[in-house]
Parts: sequence; C-alpha cells; structure tokens
Amino acid sequence: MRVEITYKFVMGFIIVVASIVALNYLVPAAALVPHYLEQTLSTACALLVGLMLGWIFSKAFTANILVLKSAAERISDGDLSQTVYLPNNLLPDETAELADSLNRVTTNLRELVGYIRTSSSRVAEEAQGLSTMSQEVTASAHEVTGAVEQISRGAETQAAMVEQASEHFRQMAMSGDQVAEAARAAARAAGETVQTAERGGQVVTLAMSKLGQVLDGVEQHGQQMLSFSARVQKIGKVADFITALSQKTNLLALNASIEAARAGEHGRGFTVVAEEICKLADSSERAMAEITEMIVVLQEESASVQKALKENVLGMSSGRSAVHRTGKTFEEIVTTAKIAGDRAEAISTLSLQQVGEVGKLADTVDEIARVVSENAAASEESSAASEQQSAAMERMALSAQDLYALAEELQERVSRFHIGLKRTN
Amino acid sequence: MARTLLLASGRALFGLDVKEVREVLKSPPLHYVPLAPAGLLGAINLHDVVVPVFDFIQLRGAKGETGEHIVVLQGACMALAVNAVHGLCHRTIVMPGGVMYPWVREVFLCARGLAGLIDPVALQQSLQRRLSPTGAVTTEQWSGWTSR
Repeated sequence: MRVEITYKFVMGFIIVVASIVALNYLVPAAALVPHYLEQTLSTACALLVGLMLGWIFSKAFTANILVLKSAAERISDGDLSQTVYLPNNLLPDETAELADSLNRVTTNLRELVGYIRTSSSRVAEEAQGLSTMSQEVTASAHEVTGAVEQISRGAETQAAMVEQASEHFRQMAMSGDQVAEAARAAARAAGETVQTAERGGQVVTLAMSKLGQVLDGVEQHGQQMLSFSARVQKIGKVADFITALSQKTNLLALNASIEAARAGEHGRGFTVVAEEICKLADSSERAMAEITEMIVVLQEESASVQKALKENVLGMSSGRSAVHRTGKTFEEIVTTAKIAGDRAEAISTLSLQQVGEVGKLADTVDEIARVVSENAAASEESSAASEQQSAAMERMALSAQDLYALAEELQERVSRFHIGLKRTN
Repeated sequence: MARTLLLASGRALFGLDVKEVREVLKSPPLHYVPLAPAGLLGAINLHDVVVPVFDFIQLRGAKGETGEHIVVLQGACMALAVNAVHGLCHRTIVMPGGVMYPWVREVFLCARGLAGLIDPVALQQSLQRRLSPTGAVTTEQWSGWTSR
C-alpha cells in the first residue's frame, strides 16, 4: 500500500503526540515518583519518547532518501552498474517511485552509454581506418602527383624532342631536295660524260687506226733494219776474210822477202817485188782495218738502231694495247656513265618521293607534337588536380584524425560511466 | 847491209838474221807432245818435216801470252812462237849483246826501237843446257832433232 510521506509525517506526529499524552496519563498513574515530580518525570519521559520516536521515524523516513542520494551520487559519478533497492519498502512512498525512476534512468543511461561507447569505438576505428586510408590515399596521391609531374616533364621533353625531330625532318626534306637536285645534275653530267666518252672512243678508234699504220711502218722498218744488219754482218765477214787474206799475203810477202834476202844479189829484184807486195798487203790490211772499224761502228749503230726499233715496237705495241685498253675504258666509261645517269635519275625520283614522304612524316610529327603538347598540358592539369586531391585527402586525413580524437574523447568521457560490463578497449 | 827479221816477244823486240830464218807462219796446226818439258809447246808439220815449237816468252823467263806467230829457224830446225812479226828491217847502231841473255849476239837500233839480235846457235845451246838436266831432252834426242 502506497503511503505518501506527508501522511507518514502526520502519522508520526500523531504517534508522538499520542505517546506524550499517554505518558502524561501513565506516569501519575504509576505513582513512581512523588507528585511534585510527576509533572517533571512525565515531561522528561514525554521528551524522551518524543525524541526516540522522532529519531526512529526520521531515520525511517530518511533511509530511502539516503539510498536514493547515494544512488544519485553513484549515477552522477557515472556508476550505472547498480540498481537501486530501497531498504525500507514496507510502505512504499514517493521514494520508491523515485528509486524506480532512477533505475529506469540508470537503465536508459546504461543503454545509451553502451550504445555511445560502441558507436564511439566504431567511430574511432572507422576514423582511424579512414585516417590510415586517407594517409595511404594521400601517399598514393603524392606518388600519383609525382608520377604525373614526371609524366608532365616527360611530355614536355617529348614535345621538345618531337619539335627537334620535326625540325630535323624538315631539314631532311630540304636535304632531300638538294639530293634530288644533285642527282639531276649528276644525271645531266653523266649524259654529258656519255657524249664526251663516245667522242673520246671515236677519237681513240681513229688513233688506234693511225697507230696501227705507224706500227706497221715501224715493224716494216724494223724488218728492213734486220735485213740491213744481216747484210752488214755478211760484209763484216767478208771484210774479216779480206783482212785474213791480206795478213796471209803480208806473211807470204814476208816469207818471199826472206827468201829473196837469202838469195842475195840474185833475189834483189824479187825482194823489191816482195816488199811492194808486202806494202800493198799492209795498205790493204790497214784499209780493211778501217773498213772493219767502220763496219764495226755500223754494226754497233745497226744493233743500237735495231734495239731502239725493238723497244719502239714494244713501246708501240704497249701503246697499241694501251690505246686499245683506253678504247675499252672509254666503252666502259660510256656504259658506266649511262648506268650512273640512270641511277642518278632513279635517285632523283626516289629523292623526290622521299621528300614527299619526309614532308608527310614531318606533318605527322607536328601532329604528334601537338598531341604531345596537349598531353603535357593535360598532364599539368592532372598534376594540379592530383595536388588538389592530395591536399583534400590531407585535409580529410586531418578530419579523420580529428574525428578519431573526438571519438577517443567521447570514449574517454563515456568511460567514466560503469555499466557493469568490462570494457573491450 | 844485212836484213833482219824484227819480231816481238811481249814488250821486247828481237831480231833474227834473214839467212837464219826459214819461214814465218801464223797459227799453224800445232800438235801437242805428251810429257813435253816446259817451254815446248808442241810440233808442227812444215812441208812434211816435224819441227818443235818453243815458247819464246817462256825461254826468256818472262810472263805473258804465248804468241801465235811461228818463226822457223833455218839451221837449228826449230821454231819459236812469238807475239808479233814486224817484217824486215836494217840494223843501225849495232852494239855487242849478251848482257841479259847469252844468246843475244848484238843490240841494234831499228825504227821500232832497240832490239836484240838472236844467235840461233847460242839459243840452241842455252836450250840444251836448260832442258838436259831435267832429263826431258837428252843430247842424242836434241842432236836427232836438230840433225833432221
């Protein structure tokens, strides 16, 4: 049965008053003390009973309040683990309702703190994961930024190289033009060379014909000279024979002179004849000696002329062969010059084609340069975007760290509430 | 005046009295004699007579080429190979010889210079003295040669 505190106070007052009144009646009736002391004793007893009952009722009335106070203090201290039980709950009053309310508040706070603790823990974990992820993303973004910057620099370098390549291709095209022009000039020169070589070949043919006639004449003269030398040799032999004959005549004259001298006076005339014959033989021997000397000189000159003729014939033969080779060489020059002209024409044509192809190649390279420049710009933009993303991610990482700190703080704040469960963190 | 046949042996000139010369030949066929002493070149056939031929330059003890002219002596029946025969000449300014060679009888002057007149007999004797000690030619052999 629920009794309000007010009624309880009223009932206690009534009991105290009734006790005092009853004592006023009982003490005189008991005649325990003299009469003049009865009033004092009854007053003293009434005070004592009043104090005792008042203390008992007060203790009874305030016991639940003290429990509630201590429970409120525990709750205020964050201890949500205990349920409030009132010790004196014989006659429930407002304190029992307050205890029930405190228990419900405790229960709700416990659920709330548990939820907050779980959520803050999850938030901290998520914030930490987010921070880690954002840091990783930031690092990746930095790497991406570096890579994009490197790509940008590479694109710039590539653009510069492509520009150079384009310039080189244009120079190559110009060189190709020059090569084509040079090839055409070479073709014209080869044509002129062909004409000149053909004229030279005709001149060489004429020279060969003339040289052949000269060689024939020289060979004929050589043969005549050989015949002349042979005849001179024969003359020399005849001269030698005449010389030997003169020597024999001389010797015979000498022997005749000796015989005539031995004959004495009878041989005087014969001696004169022998001496004349001897003189004649001497004269003829000297003349033959001169003739022989002249023949020797003639033979020597003939031999030298013959030798010179042979050398000339050999030289003319080698000259003929040289002229023949020259004619062949001119023919080869003509053939080679024709081939060179054809090849120069082909080179000119190919060079023109090459110039066209190189021009197309230069245009392509220009297009490549344009694309590379765009790529470089896009790379720079990507680099800037990546830097912005990196900054955003850094800010997000900071926010995640702040969130983590906030969750930690929330957990710290919530940790002062004891809900009767062991904390997992 | 006596006529003299002037001949040359090396660079020296010699003469022979015409009466002591039988014939002058040039490069006749020379037949070599086996085991012949030094100086004997061989023998020639002179009108079916075998005549020994001596190298005059070796007989003089000089050095030089053997001559191709053969001078056949009249009385000694021998021949001398000389380098050249210059013909007949007259001896002028004759002086006594025998200083260098015992068989040079006189020294005379001719158109070609000084020449020594050869004494065939003394030359024969000198040859006999030179060749006999060696046993190459005996006196009988020499007499047999010269007596033919």
